[in-house]
Amino acid sequence: MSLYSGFIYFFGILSIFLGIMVITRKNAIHSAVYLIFCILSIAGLFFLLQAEFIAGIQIIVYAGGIMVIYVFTILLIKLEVVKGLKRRWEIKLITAIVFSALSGEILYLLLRKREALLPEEYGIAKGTVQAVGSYLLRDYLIPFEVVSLLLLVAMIGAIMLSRKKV
Amino acid sequence: MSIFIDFVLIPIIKILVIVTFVFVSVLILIWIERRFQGFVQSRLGPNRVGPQGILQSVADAIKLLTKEDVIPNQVDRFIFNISPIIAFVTALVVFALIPFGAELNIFGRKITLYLADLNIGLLFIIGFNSIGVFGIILGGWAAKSKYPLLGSLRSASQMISYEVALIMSLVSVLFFSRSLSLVEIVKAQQEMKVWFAFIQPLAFFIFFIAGVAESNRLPFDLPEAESELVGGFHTEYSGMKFAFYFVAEFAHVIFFSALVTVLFFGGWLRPFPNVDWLNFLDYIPPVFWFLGKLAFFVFIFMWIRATWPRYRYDQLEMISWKWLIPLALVNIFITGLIVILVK
Repeated sequence: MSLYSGFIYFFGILSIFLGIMVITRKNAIHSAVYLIFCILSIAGLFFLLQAEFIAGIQIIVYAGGIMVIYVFTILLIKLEVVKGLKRRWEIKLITAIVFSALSGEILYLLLRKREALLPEEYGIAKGTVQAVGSYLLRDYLIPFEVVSLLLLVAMIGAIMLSRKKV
Repeated sequence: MSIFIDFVLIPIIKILVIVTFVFVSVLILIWIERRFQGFVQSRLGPNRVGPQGILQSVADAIKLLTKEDVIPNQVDRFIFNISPIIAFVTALVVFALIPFGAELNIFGRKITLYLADLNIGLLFIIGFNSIGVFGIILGGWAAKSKYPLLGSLRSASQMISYEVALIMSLVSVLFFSRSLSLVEIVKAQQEMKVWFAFIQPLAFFIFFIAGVAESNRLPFDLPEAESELVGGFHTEYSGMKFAFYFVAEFAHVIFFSALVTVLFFGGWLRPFPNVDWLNFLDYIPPVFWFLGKLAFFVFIFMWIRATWPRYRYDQLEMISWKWLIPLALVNIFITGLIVILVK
C-alpha cells in the first residue's frame, strides 16, 4: 500500500467516522461542528483525487458559506436537545432500503474489481481551475448561463418571500 | 535518502521556521503596538520589563500559559474547548502558502521559500479564512452568556459581508495574474514589471479595508468592542484559550499584510522593477524586501488602530454592502473591458 492510498483510506475512514458523529449527536450545534470537519475531510479526498478546484470550492461554499448560515440559524432559534425521537415504521423501512441499496452497491464494486478503485490507475483527473473554467465558459457556456439564471430566480424568490409586506 | 530529505526533513524544518516566525513576530508586535499606542496617546506604554519593556510580551505569555484555565459552569464544554483551536489553526495554516522569497541554493540543493505552492492557493486561503469565522461564532455561543453571544452574532454578519468584498476585489487582480497560485501571482508581476497596486489601486483599497475588517481590528472591532460588550466573544475565556484567540488575531494581521504584499506589492520583488539603473538593489536578498513590505503594512494596521474611532454597526454594514461591493463590481467590469479591448 503506497503512501498515497494510505492517505485516501485515512480521509475516507475519517469522513465516515465524522459523518456518523454528525447523525448521532443529540445537540444540533455539535452535529454542525462535526459536519464542518466532515466536509473538510471530504475536501481532503478531493485534493488527493487531484480535483483541486472542487476541493477549494468545497471548503469555501460548504464549510465556509453554507455552514456559517446553518450555525447562524441554530444560534438564533431556541435549541432543544432531542430526546428519544419516535419515528414511524414507514420512514424506518425507507431508510433501511436506501441504506442497504447503497452499501450493496459499494460492496459489489469492491468485490468486482478491487484494483481500479484507486484514482492513480486512471491517470491525472482534470480538476484544475483552468480545466474547470474552460469547460464551464467555453464548452458548456449556455447550460452554465441557464443554471446561473435559475440561481438568480431562486435568489429573487428568497428576497421576495422574506420581504415585509408593504 | 534524498526522498526523505526532500519530502520529510525540509518540510518539517520549513514548518518549524514559519511557526516560530509567526509566534516571535506576534510577541514583538504586541509590544510594539502597546508602545506605539502609548506614544500616539501621549502615555508611556509598557517600559519596565527588560530594556524599553521589550520583554513585556514574554512576561505576559508566561503569565497566560501558567494561569488557571477557568471554565464557567454554564458553558458547552465541547464547543468551548474546540473553538479557540479552530481560530488558532485556521490562522496558522494559511501561512503555508505565503511565498517569503524566490528559490535559495543551500548546499547545492534548491530550496523554495514557501511550504506549498497550490494551484488553487487563493481559493484555499479564502476557504480557511471563512472557516476561521467559526472560531469566533462558536466560541461566543458556547460561553452561554449575553455579551459573548452578541459579539459573536456581530462577528458572523461582519465577516460574511466583508468576505464578499474581499473576494470580489481579488477577481480583478486575477485578470492580470491568470493564476490562483501566490507564487505565480508574484511571477506575473515580475514579468509585467509593475506591482499590481499601481494598475489596480481600487482593488488594493477595497482589499485592504476588507482585510482590516476580517481580522477584527479597529475601526471594525465590533465583535469585541470593549466599551459595549466587555470583551466580546472572548469574555469568558482565560489563560491558554484566551492566548489562542489573541495570537490568532495578530497572526491574521501579519497574514493579511503578507497577502497584500504578495498580491499588490510584488511579494519578494525589489521596488521599481521597471527601472533598470536600480538593478544593484537585486543584491539585497528578496526575503528582506518581503519582510520590509510586510512590516510596513503591519505598521499601517497599527496606525489605523491608534487613530480611528470605531464605526457604528449600521455604518459598518453600509460600508461593505453599499460602497465596497458595488465598487468592486464596477472595478471588475472596467478591468475586464480593458483587458478584452487591449487584447
